[in-house]
Amino acid sequence: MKARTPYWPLFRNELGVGHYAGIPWAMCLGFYLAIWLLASSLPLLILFKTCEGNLATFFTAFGGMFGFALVWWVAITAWLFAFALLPGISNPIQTVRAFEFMFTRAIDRRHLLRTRAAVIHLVLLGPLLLNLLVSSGSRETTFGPDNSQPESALRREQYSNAFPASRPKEGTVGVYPKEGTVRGWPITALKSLEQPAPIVIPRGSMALSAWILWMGALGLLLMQGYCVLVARHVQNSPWRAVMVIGGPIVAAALLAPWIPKLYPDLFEQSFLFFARNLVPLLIGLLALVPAVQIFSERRFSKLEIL
Amino acid sequence: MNEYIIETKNVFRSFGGSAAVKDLNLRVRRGSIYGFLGRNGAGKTTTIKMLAGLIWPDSGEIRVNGVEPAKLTVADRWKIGYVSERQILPPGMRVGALIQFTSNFYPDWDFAVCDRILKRFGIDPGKRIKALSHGTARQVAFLLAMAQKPELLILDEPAANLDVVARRAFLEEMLDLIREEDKTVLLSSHILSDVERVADEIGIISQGTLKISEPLDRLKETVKQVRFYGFERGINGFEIPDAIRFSKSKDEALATLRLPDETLLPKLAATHRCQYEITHLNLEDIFVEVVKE
Amino acid sequence: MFVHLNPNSGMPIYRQLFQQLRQRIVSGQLAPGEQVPSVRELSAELKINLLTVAKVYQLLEREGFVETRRGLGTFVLDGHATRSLIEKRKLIAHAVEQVVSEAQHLDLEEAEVIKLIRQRFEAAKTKT
Repeated sequence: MKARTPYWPLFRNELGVGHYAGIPWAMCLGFYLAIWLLASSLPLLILFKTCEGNLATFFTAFGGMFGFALVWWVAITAWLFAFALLPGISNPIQTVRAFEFMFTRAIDRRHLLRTRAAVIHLVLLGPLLLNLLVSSGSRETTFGPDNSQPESALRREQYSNAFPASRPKEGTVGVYPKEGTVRGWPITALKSLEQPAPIVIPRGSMALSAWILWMGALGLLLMQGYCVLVARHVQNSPWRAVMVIGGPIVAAALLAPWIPKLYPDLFEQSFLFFARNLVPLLIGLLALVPAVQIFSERRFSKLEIL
Repeated sequence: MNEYIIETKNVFRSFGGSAAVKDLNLRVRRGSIYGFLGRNGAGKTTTIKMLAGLIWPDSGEIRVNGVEPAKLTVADRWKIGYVSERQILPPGMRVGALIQFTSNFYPDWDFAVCDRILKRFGIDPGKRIKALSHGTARQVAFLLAMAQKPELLILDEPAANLDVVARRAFLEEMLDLIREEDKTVLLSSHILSDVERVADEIGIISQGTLKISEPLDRLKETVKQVRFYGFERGINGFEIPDAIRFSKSKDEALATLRLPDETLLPKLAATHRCQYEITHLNLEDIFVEVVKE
Repeated sequence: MFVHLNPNSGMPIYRQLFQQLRQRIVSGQLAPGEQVPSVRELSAELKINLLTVAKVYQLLEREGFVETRRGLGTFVLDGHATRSLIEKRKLIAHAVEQVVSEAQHLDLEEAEVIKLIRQRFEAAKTKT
């Protein structure tokens, strides 16, 4: 009889089905998924609820928040992969993965890793994918920067380049009140400056969600590769594992507040870059998936259980 | 098919600078029950882990059923059952669910064997693994290995926490399996009386090397403890260089040695003008004599 | 068949089984022409290794106690009454060796030992 891996039982096993009592497990899973859904929909919520669909304010005001999101995200994924791949670490989830037992059954290690990675990717990227789908039916987004800022014209041009289908918003010229002051400058002085209308970015929110999804997927793949790479060296020493896996988390936590200070435009520029080079970036990501997976499977197969 | 289901050639393996296994040449005949014995730290568990494909040798060659353990495919693993020393079964799973889960990976899974063993050892399939005692969990591990109908069963301390009655039952189950043709068992256990009941070949590993590897009957028949006394011409100069153990006092000598035939002792006695008294040793006695520092 | 085996004694299991089966055959408990259990059956009954039983049967056959007929089974052979004196001597040699060795340890004279043996024969005769 040919050896065909029964993926479904492996998959169920990875989700912890049968390892925990039914109701607590369902509650835990539900709670976890709810958190993820909420967290991943935050960008879209902020975009529409707070920024009224204006990408300009979105990036300006909330670039800093991404830093913390990054730290949190790295922390979760690093540890998930650590648990999944490192035989020496014992923890509550590890028991689901009882390495020595699984490795001495008639289970292809590569398929085991494949299932594990698939579960992690599914759980973490699923909500991001959902956001993408939701955003396809959302309101329009605009790009209407604060025109008093000197670089706004440059940004406007960048957006127009990135989104060739964009067009100026009709019906409004000048977004500032007719009287009073804006940043200390009397309105009359500003009126003499050219005040271009905000441009409408068709499918702007979709682009934003796609960008987040792409970054998430890339980060996951890199994290998977990293954990698999270090697995052999840290698997038998819990403290070393903590340091090596915790390294990126600490680094991210330290960098997070600095990124918006040093590179205030980083996120926005990255978003624009993504929008400009959508197809090659997608192809690149899709090509990366099998590369990382094959690399991971090979290293995973060579792990020793001491 | 190869006569030997397990063969290692010049295998070395060290951990952090100290050699756990040195130049190991282990051969297990197909269809036998091989008792693999050794003290803690002698290299026993390391060897078994290499056979199971959990760790790799530093150098040398290992073949299990003709295949290197590092390259065992899924189909190869159908034929190899493994019960480890510290079998860590998924603690949250119920016994029945674990059996169901494991059965997915084996085409010849025998549920009748599962039922029989569950009943025989009185295991409740509804209980979670973590709620079972150590010994019972081991029985479940044994059950899982048996139900896959393996050609080779590798058992590392499978009966360690079982009481006497459960151990006898376990040994009988093992013998039932072996009664079918061409099934082999590699049994490693500190409970030498169990091994003595069922093994036909014995391997004793000490300080990383295999000191003894032969049929149990021959071992018991040829290795004896002999007391030499009544030296007419004094004991000086009395030595047995290839004895397993030899000690002398002022008028008698005690030796554990191999007697290839019945003529050795009378010849020795005639040469050295002394008398002798033979004590028959059981496996435990022989083991202690071989591995003692 | 109630056979008692002690796996933990210095005597290998196969030798214990061999002696006990031989004793039963010689004493007539297993009558000539009677079929003995198959290797499989006996190993299952005694809960010992199949190869051990196979070895014992081989030995018994070699010494002329049993005969294996293909497809039918293993049967006790006739003809122990006509066993040669040499063979019988061989069988009792071990017991004699033990007696003599023991006597030497206890520093008993040969005459003493012979007296004991004679007494034992007398006692056996009066019983039957």
